[in-house]
Amino acid sequence: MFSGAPFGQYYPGESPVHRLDPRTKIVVTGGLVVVLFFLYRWPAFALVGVLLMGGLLVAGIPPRLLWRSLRSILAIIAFTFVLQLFMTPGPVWFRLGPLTATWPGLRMGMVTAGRLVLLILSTSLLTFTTSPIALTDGLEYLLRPLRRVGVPAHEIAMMMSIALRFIPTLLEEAEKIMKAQMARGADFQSGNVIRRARSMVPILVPLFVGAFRRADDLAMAMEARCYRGGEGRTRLRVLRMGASDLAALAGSAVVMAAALVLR
Amino acid sequence: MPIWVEDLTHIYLPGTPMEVVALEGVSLEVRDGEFLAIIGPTGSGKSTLIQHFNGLLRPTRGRVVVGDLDLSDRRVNLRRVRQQVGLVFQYPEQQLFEETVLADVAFGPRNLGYPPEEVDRRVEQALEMVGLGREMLERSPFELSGGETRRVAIAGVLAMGPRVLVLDEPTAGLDPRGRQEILSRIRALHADYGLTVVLVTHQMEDVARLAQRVAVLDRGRLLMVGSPREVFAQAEMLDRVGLGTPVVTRVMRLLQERGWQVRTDVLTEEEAEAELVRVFGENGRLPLRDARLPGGTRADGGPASGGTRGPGGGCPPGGGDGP
Repeated sequence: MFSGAPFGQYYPGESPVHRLDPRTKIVVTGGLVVVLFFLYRWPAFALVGVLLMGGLLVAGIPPRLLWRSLRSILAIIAFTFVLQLFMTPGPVWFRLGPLTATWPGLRMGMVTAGRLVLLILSTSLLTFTTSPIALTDGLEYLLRPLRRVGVPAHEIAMMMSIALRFIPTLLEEAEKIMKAQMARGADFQSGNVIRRARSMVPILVPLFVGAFRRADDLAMAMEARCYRGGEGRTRLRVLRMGASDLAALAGSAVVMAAALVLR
Repeated sequence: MPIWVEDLTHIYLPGTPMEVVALEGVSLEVRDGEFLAIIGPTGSGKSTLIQHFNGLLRPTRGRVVVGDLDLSDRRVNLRRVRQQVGLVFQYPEQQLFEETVLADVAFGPRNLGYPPEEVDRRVEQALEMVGLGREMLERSPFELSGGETRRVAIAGVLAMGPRVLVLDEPTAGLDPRGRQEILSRIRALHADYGLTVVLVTHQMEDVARLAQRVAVLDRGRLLMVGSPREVFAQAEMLDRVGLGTPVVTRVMRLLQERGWQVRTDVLTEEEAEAELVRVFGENGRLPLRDARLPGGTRADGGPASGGTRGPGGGCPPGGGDGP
């Protein structure tokens, strides 16, 4: 039932992109996300698009998976496109009842759609090629300088890993509870919005009760193994930047700079 | 109400890399009014199989017919099927959500659209069936003992008035007393209330004591169906799939291996006792009282009173060392 959900979409592999240091990938993706919002002209979009497609190709991500993550935000893209098309003032393209579509609106709509698509592609490239564990490791390292100003970097990373770890567990449990309630004649499909929302109560209450109990158990198990936060904690996998990381950073920096020039 | 399963195959996530064949070509009949046990090691497909009995899962291939309803027919009212075939999941107390026992047990009958008086009547009857009194009604299900919450959860299924009750490891995680309570209730539901019972379990002793027929699953296939005596006679097969036989059956088998002429098809402690009395008692050589004492056997595992013995040699310890 939930097996199609785009959670934990890590696609295991051994490609050069997979092997990059997670910090490299996080920094490049973060940079791209910022750069994307300055882009306005076609050549700039094309340049970033080529960089991303190259990365996805090298990583060997099946187009089917790519389409699945794009499909989930298709409605949002369509919605913003229509909004831009009709809400931007300027020379009229056509009229639809009380609404007027404008030429600048068309352009703005396409720019926004392009930004969103590239945004999804870049974050997908990161999550497809980086395991959740590597991701949080990288994030913890990158957040470390912020500890000076009181950001609990280790705790944030640990919370993220735990949350990621338990998403599949919770989904499985939700499915099990749902089936148990269906066996008692519950119906989650029919009725209006309010009825349907109410029908979620028999799922959510047991789910939360179970989650709290599990959190207690987990805390106990962590303490039993002497967990005491990030102080003095060493790591099993030590992150190391290699030559390929430097090359990837430099290459993407050049492309991003070029895109900003062309924007 | 009988259930027919014909050539049932179930594949999870077909067509993906995570594809798992959970059941393959299983054909099985649950007879009206019987007590059927389903046994099999973890991951053998037991839970997948029973979820087909009330239409929670649909067959990838094959057919499931409940009474006169063919579940592969999309027009079948599944709610009616789920009323007829009550399914109690593993750790059913984890599905409780209401503030009072009354409200929680009433969830099923309310979903079926019964009027309030009928709902109340069914709740009380269901609690009585699991041996809980009226004083439970207003208590919170979260403040009861482990065995009690589980009985409340089972009552929640019984309140729908099923003809068939399917239980997935109903005694898992309970203390011995809780286990005994649940088992004697299940026995009563079959014997006194006439329910058809399907019990999924890992406890061979419970199978021996309660079931009329046993189905053995291994890696998604049905290995055999038969009476407990027939099934437990296949000790080697059961050992191979990692299930084993009841302890008393094993004891008898070990005695036989050491040359004692005992029957090995005993299933319960009572039968074992009768057999031991027959073999040891009639001779007067080895009163059962002593046979039960720890140290009643020698360190080398031989029979307590030693003496000559051989394969087929008339079982009781040999001549000279009598009283």
